[in-house]
Amino acid sequence: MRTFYQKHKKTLSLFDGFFLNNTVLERGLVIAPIIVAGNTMKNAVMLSIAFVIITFITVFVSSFIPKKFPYTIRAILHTVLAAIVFIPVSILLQNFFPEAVYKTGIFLPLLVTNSLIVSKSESRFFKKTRGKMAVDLISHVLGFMLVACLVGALREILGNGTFWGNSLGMSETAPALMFPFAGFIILGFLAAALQKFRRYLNQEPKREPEASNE
Amino acid sequence: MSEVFASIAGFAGDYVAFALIAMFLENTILTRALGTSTSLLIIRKGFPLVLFSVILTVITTLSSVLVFLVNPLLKNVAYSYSVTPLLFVLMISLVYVAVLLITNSCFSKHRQKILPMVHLSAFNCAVLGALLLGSQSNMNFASFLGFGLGTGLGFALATFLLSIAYDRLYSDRVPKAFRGFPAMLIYIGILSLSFYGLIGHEISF
Amino acid sequence: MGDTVRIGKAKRKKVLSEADRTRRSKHIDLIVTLIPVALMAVYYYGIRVLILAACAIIFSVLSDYLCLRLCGDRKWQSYDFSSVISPLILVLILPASIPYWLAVVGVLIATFVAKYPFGGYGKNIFNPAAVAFAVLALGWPDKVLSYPQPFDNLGVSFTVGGSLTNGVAYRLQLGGAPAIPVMDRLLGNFAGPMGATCILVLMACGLYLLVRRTISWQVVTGTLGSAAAMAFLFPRVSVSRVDSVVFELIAGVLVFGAVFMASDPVTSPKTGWGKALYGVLLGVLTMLFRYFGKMEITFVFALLLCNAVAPKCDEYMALLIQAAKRAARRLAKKPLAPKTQGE
Repeated sequence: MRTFYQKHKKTLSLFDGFFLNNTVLERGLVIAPIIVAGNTMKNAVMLSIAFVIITFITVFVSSFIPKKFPYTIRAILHTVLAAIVFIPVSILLQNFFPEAVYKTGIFLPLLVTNSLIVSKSESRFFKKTRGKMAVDLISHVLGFMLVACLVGALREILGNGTFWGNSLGMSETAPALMFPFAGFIILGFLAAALQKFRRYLNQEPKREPEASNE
Repeated sequence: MSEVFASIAGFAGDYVAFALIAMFLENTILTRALGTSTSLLIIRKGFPLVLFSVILTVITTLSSVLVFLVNPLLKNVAYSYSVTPLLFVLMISLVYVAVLLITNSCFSKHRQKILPMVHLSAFNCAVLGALLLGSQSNMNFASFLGFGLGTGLGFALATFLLSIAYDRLYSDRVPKAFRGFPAMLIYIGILSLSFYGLIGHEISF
Repeated sequence: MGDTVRIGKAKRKKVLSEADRTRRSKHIDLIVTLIPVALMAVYYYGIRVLILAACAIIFSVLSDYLCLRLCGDRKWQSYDFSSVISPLILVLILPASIPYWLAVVGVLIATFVAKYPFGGYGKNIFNPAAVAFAVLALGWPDKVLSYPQPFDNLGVSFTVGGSLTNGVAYRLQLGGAPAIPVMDRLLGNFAGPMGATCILVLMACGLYLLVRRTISWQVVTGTLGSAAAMAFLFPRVSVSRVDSVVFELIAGVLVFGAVFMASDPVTSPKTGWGKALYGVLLGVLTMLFRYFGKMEITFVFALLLCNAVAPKCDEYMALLIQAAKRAARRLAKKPLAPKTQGE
């Protein structure tokens, strides 16, 4: 795997945002929704869907805003655009998940000011060509979805003894996992696992000693 | 006269009470993880914490005033849940522009230092989060303002606590897999745990 | 680190350095003093205490060893008895009715969350037993904050039947003074954490550790003194101020924590003045958490916060002392007021 990765590093780096340079685990962005509200699978899925749609549309459309506009105007336009996109997204989610949307509390509306829109758009995405930007953006948003759903499932199963609101019949659960501090700690361990894996992939493969000619 | 005094005392009481609640019981970083990445960025870049917190508090407080005034209009609007973020973002934008103009005119000598922090704090999750929480909880004016002040102070307190261990967590003492961000997350988690000792239960969000 | 010496053709024997010998001696002192506390718990709650302690220690040693192997090049230091001390401390601040599996969960949290992500023994920022207890108390309050009465027949089964009761800390939180005779308050004959109620034994152990310089007098007196002062000045219950002090000291795990947890040399400040500030801060925070918080056991949460600010205690006290010395020098050098004409 390491050899394959090192051989195709340039191509694979286009999709870094999904796993190796994951938005949440490597860059530490948009962690609040996962830590606080992402303690059930349903919440995680709703947050992920909203995040994917809002962020992709906002950043992609914002890339057409001329660079000659002052930074302040561009920043305001990015966030206002995200807030406008939020309107149909939240209405859609309320139709598909009635009542459940409110269980995400303030974290669904807060996606409007997530770091990918507010800061990473200017510092990373807009520096690429539109095609590569789209691929990078999709990788990043799907990376968020991966972590959110993984953490949400883990916390709901072990913390509540349910999955998607349905009881799993577990005799003992770990309610401590539903607290934000558990979210921080779980993300810490996932980030550590990713960091270790990344180090492994980037390590020089051990060279076998040459056999002597006798 | 006594009524005026009583209302001032009531205002001050609510203001201080909610500031303390926002600073400790509902600390923006440690209980709701809002502004965590900004906090780590400030420590990494070495921004002056006190100045950043003042700017954040000013923006939150001024935005709270505007949001408090327009909030009643939202109550009878269809799809108010969906429209609220747009309105709040517009309020924050007005404050953002105002703060930039004030910085350029009154603090022009220090604008190079202040402007990056204004840009960073304007559309911060901590600011919008405080506004959303305030409007959700039907706070009165004093409480809303106090909550804004507490959000800024709580951000400063949490960032200070994170800065104490920052260098250590990025040093050789920590195993390579955990070095840096992973250990920092676990550290923040344990700090959050200690604050939950004050709260005692999950808080609403 | 120690040097190795070759003893004839025998295996090399590692010789400990002076610092490591001191560390080992302190660890042994702690274990020696935890034993009478554990024996008091056995006296009140039976053989279950020993089984809990044994489970906790076994899992702690195993998990420590696993983490050491995962870390690769880190060897088990011969002065390091933390994998025995931490689980013993954790078990003694839990109720005797705690299920075995929950004590094991606590031990695993202490090792995998509080200790090794920060570098293992000697490098951890937070007291592992405090982290574990805090998680258990928030996650399973019904199991962790309910206590059997002393001399209840708990048996050795996995779960304990029978009725459990609230501790002194809970009653104080509600504003009520517990009806405990004076001798029982000192001997620990009331419902509470199994090792944290026998105040007399804890004080004797504390004295021994202070004389041996295993724990810091600044931390212990700072913690207990400031907590007692706050209990005296701001009593939570309608009793005499002296009774308020006694109840607040016997409630929760304050005395146990001050003796066995607060002075952990790894997580507490290094300088004398820093330790004094740390102790005062810990006592004050514990009481503030009691006054304004919702949890009945607050010491461990206050301890975690103090662990985080421990390095700053040394720094700020050093600055304060420097400033005080400068001020004193300036006052000493200040010339007398000049004589006016005609005098």
